[in-house]
Amino acid sequence: MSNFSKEIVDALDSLKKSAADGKEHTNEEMEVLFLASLLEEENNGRN
Amino acid sequence: MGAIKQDTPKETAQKTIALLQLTRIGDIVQTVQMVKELREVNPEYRVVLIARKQFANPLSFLLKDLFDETILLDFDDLLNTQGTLNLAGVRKNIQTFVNRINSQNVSVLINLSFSKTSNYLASLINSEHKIGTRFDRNANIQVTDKWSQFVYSNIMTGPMCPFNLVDVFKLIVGVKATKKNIEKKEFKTKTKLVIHPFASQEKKMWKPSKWVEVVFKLLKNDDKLTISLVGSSAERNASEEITNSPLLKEFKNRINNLTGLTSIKELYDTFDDETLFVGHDSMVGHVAALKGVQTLTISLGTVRPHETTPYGDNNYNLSPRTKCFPCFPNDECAFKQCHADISYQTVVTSIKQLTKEGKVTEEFIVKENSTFHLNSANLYKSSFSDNGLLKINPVISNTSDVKDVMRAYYRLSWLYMLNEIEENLDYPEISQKVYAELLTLMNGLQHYFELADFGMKYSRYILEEISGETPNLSNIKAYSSKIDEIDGLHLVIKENFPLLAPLVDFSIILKGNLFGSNVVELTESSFYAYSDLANHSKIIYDLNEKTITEFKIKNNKINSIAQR
Repeated sequence: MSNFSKEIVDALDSLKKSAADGKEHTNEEMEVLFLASLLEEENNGRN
Repeated sequence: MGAIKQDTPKETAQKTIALLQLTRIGDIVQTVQMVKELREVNPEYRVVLIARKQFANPLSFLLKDLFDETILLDFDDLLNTQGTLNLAGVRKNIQTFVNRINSQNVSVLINLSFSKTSNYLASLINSEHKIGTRFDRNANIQVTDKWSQFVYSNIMTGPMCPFNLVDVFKLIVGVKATKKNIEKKEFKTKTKLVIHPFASQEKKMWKPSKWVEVVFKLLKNDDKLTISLVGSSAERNASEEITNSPLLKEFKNRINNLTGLTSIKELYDTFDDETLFVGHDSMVGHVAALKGVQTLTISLGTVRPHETTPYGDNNYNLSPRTKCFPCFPNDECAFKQCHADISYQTVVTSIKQLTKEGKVTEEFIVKENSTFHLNSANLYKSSFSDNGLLKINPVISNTSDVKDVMRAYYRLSWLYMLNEIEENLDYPEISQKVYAELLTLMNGLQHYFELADFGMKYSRYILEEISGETPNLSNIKAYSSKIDEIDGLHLVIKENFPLLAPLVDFSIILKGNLFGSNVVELTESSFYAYSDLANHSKIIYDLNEKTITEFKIKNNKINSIAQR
């Protein structure tokens, strides 16, 4: 796994934890979610 | 000399509508068709398009004059960080991109893409008003406007949407529904056939060998006809499978393989009055319709003819009557029965009449095809309703299946319930089989209405309890759990009466997006939601009852004539 992928996975893990604690997502976290979704779509070659 | 004091009118800033369309080229073309109408009705708005670079750039010739600004989401640019690729750098690029959109002072952001990515982006953009889906800060989907709720509950979940996607966009955006002035053009015999024999998924397209049969028959039957094959460079090899077929050897001089050789603009420019477009559901059909070229679409796999027929009057759509059609993208399918259910003969005879007369008639198609071929496919023709909304109707009478009839009901009821638009509907011509299916549905509709009625009742009980002098919390809890029970029973209705799924799915979305910040407001909103659902089911019930009665009257007449 590249460093960049690891950074994203870590960021997603961290925001899952904070969501489980009942915290709302910050703007930064929404940016990560957007990026993760975009990467997924581009990798799937759709949309 | 005394100066005359004049009141200078207050300058009102021009409002900006931003349209978020991150999906494919075909969806952007359909967005273009909607925006053309928006521009005619509301020229006062600035309209900005936010789209993916790879899908918007090939259409720049259409976008540049239509939109005040097009903001491109460039994936490669977002990942372009200084030095090694890193998350902080990409996030910075995302912020720059979002800031560029925010600098437009967006009054209304409208998400037309309904994808996860667009939902996240919609939540990051600042806008006075937001329409369409987006995520809230708990990553829950929010969809508060009725037409987007319709899309989320009807288009995303099943094949019962009765509207063309261009019209769905119009309804979401709020483009006023008005009668279309259809320009009567002098008919010219079509001598140029443009075929796009490909689609974005294998499920949606025939194998090249079947197209070879079509091309062979057409060129053999009509020596004036020329055929151009079009497509992207990725489709070049498949197109050569067609053109290199030994069967087509003698017709090579009348086949022009342009696959991978033309841009979309060049293709758009070559379409003229003598062109007929034939193909599967793909962007090319929408581009042809945009130019006013007549189209014949062969819908297969996941394609939904009612939603995707190229937007224009007098276009045709052939779709299979296969039980599992239309399927979902993830459905496994090894046999592809729907590909076999549309015969090349039906396609060839349809093209034959379209090139000569610009229409396909029931008389002609029945005469030229065997019952065996016609029984496995539906042929639809498009036209505009008095409200300027596209509809497709079967060309061959008495071929509506129960889904067609339900779609017709839903079309009327959604338009009335969500926009107070009234459309006329002739009694659908139904078979004995459809009659029996519609009869069964009456029970489901009755149950649905009763549940909605109970929902209103328990919402009212909660409101009465709250407004009492000493509200009893346990009573409120009991009523509230009754409402949960009602919502659960809606799902049982969906299981037993799948044709009512659009109503049930819509009720779930409606109940999940109630308005209000306290119990009173939310309960009021719940009351109105149930009231809407009850009215909606009543409309469908009445329409169904009338159709059933009409069928009985007709049948009795026929029987009594037969007995004389």
